[in-house]
Amino acid sequence: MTSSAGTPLLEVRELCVSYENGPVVDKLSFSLRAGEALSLAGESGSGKSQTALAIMGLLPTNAKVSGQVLFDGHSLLGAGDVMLNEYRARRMAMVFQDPMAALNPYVTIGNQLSRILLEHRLADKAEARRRSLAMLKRVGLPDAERQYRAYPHELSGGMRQRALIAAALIAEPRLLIADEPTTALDVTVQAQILQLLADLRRETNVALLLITHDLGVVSTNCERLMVIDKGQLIEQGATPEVLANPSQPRTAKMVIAAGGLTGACSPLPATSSDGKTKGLLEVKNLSVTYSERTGGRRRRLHAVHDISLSVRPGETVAIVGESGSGKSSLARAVVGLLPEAAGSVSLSGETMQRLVGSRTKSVRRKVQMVFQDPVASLDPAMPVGGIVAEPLLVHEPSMSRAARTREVTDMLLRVGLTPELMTRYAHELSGGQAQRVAIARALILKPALLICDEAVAALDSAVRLEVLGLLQAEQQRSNLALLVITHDLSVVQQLSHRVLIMYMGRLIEMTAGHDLFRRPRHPYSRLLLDSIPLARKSGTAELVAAAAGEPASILVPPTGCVFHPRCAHRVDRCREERPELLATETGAAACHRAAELDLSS
Amino acid sequence: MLRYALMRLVGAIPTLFLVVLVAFLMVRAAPGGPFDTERVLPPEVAANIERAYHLDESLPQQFQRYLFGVMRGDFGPSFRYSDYTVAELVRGAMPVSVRLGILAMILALIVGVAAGLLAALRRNTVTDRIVSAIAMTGVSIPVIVIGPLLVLFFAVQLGWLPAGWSGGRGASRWVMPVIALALPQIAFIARITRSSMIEVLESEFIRTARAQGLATASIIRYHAMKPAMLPLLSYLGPAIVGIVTGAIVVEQIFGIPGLGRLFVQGAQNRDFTLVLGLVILYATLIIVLNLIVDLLYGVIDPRVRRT
Repeated sequence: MTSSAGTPLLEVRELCVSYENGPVVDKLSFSLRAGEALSLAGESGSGKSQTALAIMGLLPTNAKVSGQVLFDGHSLLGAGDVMLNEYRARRMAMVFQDPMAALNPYVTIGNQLSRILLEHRLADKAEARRRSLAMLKRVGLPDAERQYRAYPHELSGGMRQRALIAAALIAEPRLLIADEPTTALDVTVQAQILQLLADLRRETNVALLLITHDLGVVSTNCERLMVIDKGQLIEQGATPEVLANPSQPRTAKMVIAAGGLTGACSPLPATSSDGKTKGLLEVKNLSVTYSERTGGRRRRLHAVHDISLSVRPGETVAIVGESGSGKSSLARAVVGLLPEAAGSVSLSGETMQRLVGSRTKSVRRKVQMVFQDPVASLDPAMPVGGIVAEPLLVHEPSMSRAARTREVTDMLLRVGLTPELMTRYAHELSGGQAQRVAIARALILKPALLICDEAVAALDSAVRLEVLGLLQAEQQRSNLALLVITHDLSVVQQLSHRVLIMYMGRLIEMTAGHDLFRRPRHPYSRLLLDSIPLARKSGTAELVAAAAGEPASILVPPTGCVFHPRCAHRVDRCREERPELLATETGAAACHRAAELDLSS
Repeated sequence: MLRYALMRLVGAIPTLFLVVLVAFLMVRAAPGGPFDTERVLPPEVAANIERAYHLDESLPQQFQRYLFGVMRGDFGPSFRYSDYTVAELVRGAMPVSVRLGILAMILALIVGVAAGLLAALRRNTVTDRIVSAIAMTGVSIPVIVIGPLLVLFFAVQLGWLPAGWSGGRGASRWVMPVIALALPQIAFIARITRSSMIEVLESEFIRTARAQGLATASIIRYHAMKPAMLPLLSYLGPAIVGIVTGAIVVEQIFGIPGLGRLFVQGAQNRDFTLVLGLVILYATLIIVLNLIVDLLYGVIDPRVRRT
């Protein structure tokens, strides 16, 4: 099965996929040579995943497919499972988006890998075990023997994705289709997985079809880029050229969302007159502790450790951290959703925790929250009009029905929705519409502070920019203060005056937005910046690679500086002594070497 | 795991106590006593008998006496079969009932799982519809109807099988009771297996397995079977209760001298100690089997494995 120089490894001709309510892939044609890397980029619903599933023959039975898929000149489209199984795993393999869902939770990692070799009669049991172990080592799982016996839930997100990549490559395919392989992962882990894919490609010469909505992911790995929208090809070319000069507005938006085209929106300067304007929100020494039972023993988990911060009226403060950093616990403690938190939270001078009765209500209405999953955070049994009106019913029961309807209508218009949506239900809305409804619900009480917990993380890049724009407009209009919880530095870049960076429940750096991008003071901040592929300066891949590994278990935090096991700049002192958060010229950082290190880009 | 099992067993003691208390009160609340007969006994004789069985004491005293007996392992004498203790009667009737129950359970699992799998794999085909229709019928018709219908057809009309226990010997007399007892469970198990297998086959990790080029048989065997069996496992508890209560009816219909028949007779005769003894036995059985089911859960699902 060697392809002559002329025939491409994979050729897709006029591929159409459609369901009852219309086509999702429309006459898509492209080809891929052996060893080449091509990216198929598009927003959700653009048909990119459907294309991948069509190539693998995994579309659901109610899909109508036409066109041609040729692998090494052999037609695969419409072939039965028996024939396709000759190709799957051995010639083409696929990595899926969510490694937790894509791995079988009831079967050990080792058995899932070995099964592939046994099924295709590529090895006997002992040989399959040996090859699986070797493959697990090759994808960078440190303790392969242990991971071989582990169940998926015992691994971290990054390790699960490595295991899934190992499963895809174990039968030495010539084509690897990766469908959003890093979307479900933290940014620093994402950078590691991309590096892994690049390394494996160099070593094995496997061709790569990378499917993504994130153009940042493309730049490190693919020579060629195709952008599709509504099932049709809208732009293609060499990756650096398309990224530098997108010809389509939709592509441009995706590039901006990925943190490229810097200068398009420069970070805002810190609001002036530090200390003069009175703080709106004052958080002092806030700690959140959960107790967890593991193996019959009670353990205390310090999700948030002694954090103080303030937000002034009209200011945007971003709290940045990866999963497990404690940023969401912090946000929840601030609004009083975690009553067991220690420390004090006050709003315009009034302490939030000790309020009782009607005082609680009048203070609480000044803080509103927008959550990550827009559809899940709206009551599925209530129409949009009811959802937006509900806070008014609670806080202003005397308001007349007509006045309330007027308020709701005005608010919907303000967030860019038509009042006709009032009778719709959450599941009938798009992600962007649903998040606008959630924002309308939060703003209808005219709060002084809006907390956005990953409010744009689930949205497509174009919609994300619009929603961020809406939040900025609201801020200018009513001097609204924003506390933005995010893992995404491009959100920080567009929106924030000040940034707080959290790692394992601790505040490790505090700085003005533009200073963070110019000169971070903490090595972890530098790592976060380097994890944005499009913003990465050349030669920093080693730094990211040096920080390989993932945050230590928060149940057993490392001694000394919590970041030291991953830090490229650690010295002996970091292992022993926990650094205090000390002032720098631009803010504060919790690093022993903050003064001497130059981490500027 | 051992610690957990012990904790669960200790935790079952209050439950058992409540079961005994409620059963004791209910038996006593029923009108009549064990020694009421057509012929009115002379008052002195009646008083003597009552004294012999401690029926002249107050209810709390009687309950205390009974409870202390049970804790020593003494379930008392049968009130009706005056030469036997409850323990002896139960020991005599137990083997046939246990055998009936186990056979019915095995049959229900084999046929139910097979039918459910078939329906799930041939989803929305004629096979699936037939299995689903039969299962629906099985769920809705109680044993008390199925039993006599089986007798009417196979014993009376065709004459293939003996109509009652005493009328046959060997394997032939087991066939109809086991089928009658298993049928409703077959129906439930088939429905549960079908729906859980369909759900598992639609999950993402099955799509991964397909992308890895595994044949359908391998996918079922190595990836889908375990998770698909979990809902069935949690149904095993109720299934056991269904078999136990179903056996009471089946043993009556076919005249099988097992625990169920003993139970019904005991209730009819106001044989207080016999009824109470059987209630305790049934309750213990159900508690222990449910514990085993919960422990099995941990064996199949690594995420709920207990340390």
